[in-house]
Amino acid sequence: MLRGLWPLGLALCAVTDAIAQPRIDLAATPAWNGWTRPGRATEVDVRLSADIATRATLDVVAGRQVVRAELDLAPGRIVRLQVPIDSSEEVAVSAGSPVAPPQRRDVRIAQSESPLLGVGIVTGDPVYLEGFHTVRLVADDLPRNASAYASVDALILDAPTLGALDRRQLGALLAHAAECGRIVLLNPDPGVRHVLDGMGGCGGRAVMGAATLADAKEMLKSSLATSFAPAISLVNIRELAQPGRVTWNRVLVLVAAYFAIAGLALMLVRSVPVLLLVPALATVAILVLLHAMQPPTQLVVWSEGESGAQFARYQAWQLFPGLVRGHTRVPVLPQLASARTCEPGQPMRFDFDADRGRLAFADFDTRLFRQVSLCYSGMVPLERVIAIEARPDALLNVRNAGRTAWPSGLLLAGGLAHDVPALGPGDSTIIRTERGKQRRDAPARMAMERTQADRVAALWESDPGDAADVTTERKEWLLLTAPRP
Amino acid sequence: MSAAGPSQGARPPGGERREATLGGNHTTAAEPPQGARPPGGERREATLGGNHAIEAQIDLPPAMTGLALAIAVALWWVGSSRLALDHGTDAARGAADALKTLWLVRGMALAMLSVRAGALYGWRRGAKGGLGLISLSWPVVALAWSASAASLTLVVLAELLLLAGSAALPLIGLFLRRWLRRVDFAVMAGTAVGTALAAALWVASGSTYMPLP
Repeated sequence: MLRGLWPLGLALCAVTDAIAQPRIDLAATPAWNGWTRPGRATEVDVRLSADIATRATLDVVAGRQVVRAELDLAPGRIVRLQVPIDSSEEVAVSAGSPVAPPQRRDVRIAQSESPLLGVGIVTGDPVYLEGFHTVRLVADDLPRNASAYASVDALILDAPTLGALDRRQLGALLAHAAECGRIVLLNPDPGVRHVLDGMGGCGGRAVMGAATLADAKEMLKSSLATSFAPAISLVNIRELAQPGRVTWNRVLVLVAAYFAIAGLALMLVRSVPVLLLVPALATVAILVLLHAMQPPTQLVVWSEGESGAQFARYQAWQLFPGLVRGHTRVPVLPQLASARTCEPGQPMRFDFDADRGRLAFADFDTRLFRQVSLCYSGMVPLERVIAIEARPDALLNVRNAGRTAWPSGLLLAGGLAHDVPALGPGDSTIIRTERGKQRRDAPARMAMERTQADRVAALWESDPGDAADVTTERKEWLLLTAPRP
Repeated sequence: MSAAGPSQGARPPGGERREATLGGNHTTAAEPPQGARPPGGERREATLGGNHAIEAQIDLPPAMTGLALAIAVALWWVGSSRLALDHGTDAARGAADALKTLWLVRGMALAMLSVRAGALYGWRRGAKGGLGLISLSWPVVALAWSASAASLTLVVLAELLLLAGSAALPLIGLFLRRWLRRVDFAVMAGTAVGTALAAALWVASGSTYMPLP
């Protein structure tokens, strides 16, 4: 009798267990209606919900990059995350918990070889711009991460689409405008236009307003004839950072010291056990020393803006010099925006902070001489105003027309660099243009390259400030351009 | 070869034994005269009379060769790493090449020296020489592995293979000596076998089936 009840009990237990298992619903949608460009960052919008409270892990795999988030799901509540990812044709989004079967969605992202024109207009009029691939957008297709704007090369948005953007979308759009993104606003609300004009980088030339779609296309065409300051490449950054020598020098010293000791041992001792012991001990000592002498991380920040603008755009690079084979976990700097890996081929895992909607930690493998870097970009408030007047006898009067004092820096005019002393608000100094110097250092060279011929520029190397952080070597520059007098 | 040295049984001026080297003239001073056999007709391994100074000097050439190889490869690797760092390219490829070169060069040198050393001085001295040859590169191997993407298991296995070779190859020389019963023939045969093994290793290194580090 009792034996007969066993299977029934087991079956009941199984049913109870199945009932207690949460069911996770997962949906994933790419930004920009599923379009991007090869090698450009984009974003996936993920929606997660569960029928009972559970803790879930979300993994978004794009190429060699993985973004992971730990989430607390509550019944009846949809958790929505906009995860920034590297460009990849296939993105695997999966979610699972210890007590629920894993769910997986594959997201396909089309990679356009042609430049992309994003068009968010409610009328549905056809838009064609020569050489561009047009992507039709609704408000929800626009990303919430500023880095995802790298996917499109130009944007036309009308007032209803702008009005339908949420706060995070507007923030990302403003950051894109500050970074000289080409945006044409079709009959925008005057308030929105005013805000975007104030934020627009590159002297506000990148943000345009148009009354008709035909005007918008003409404006974009004429804007494309002007090249705005492009993003700085990693190769140029290496010149600014001057990395790698510390590690290489240390390895050279270790190798030389070992060979000297081994040579002496061969000459003096000539005993086989010693000859075996010396390289064995040296191997252990070298590996221990490599572990012990971790050089500091380097942070390079290059900001540039126009005199009188409210914001300057910045690009930052955090360089992690590798010494040993191993695994490293580093915090993503919270004070810098739009963190991402600088090299898409670099395998990296990010931890995504779902509460703050940003990347929190980066995990990657290291090895000797390998420099892994994280890239950041965004905008910072700019308070410096430079006024330059031409005087007779090849003189320039440089005046601090802003409200804050300047440190000493360089004035770059006519291909020459001139020292500018520290100036308080309203102070001025006279520069003799013929007494300039040919500066060949990396920051001055970079500043010259990024200053248009019809402009002059001031370059300041910023005070590192937060000197308490001894594990990071900081180098910061601010380039401010003004019209040539 | 002994043919180029003093006649069998002769001593250099002063009656001192000449230093025996693996690469130069080999004295057979410690050997019985050619043709003479110990009781029982078997040839004993040369012990060099237990003279430790001379033994050490015999161990020195392979160790010096190993050190020279390690220095050469280390210089090349450190230089190529500097170039890679300056140009912003991946230094791992140079490190992988250094690992492969170190293994191949030591393997070939081991083949050429150990068989011959085994024929001349017996297994013990041959194995010691082989160890001296391969061990001095270990710190460079460790550094190059740290900079490469090579698997640790593969690198360790490669080093173990070299260690096994340093123990096994002198046995071939010893076998040749016992089989041929004359040192000069054994040395010639050992040199030929060692060269053939080194050439085979070189050819095999180009094969995709050779799992070099």
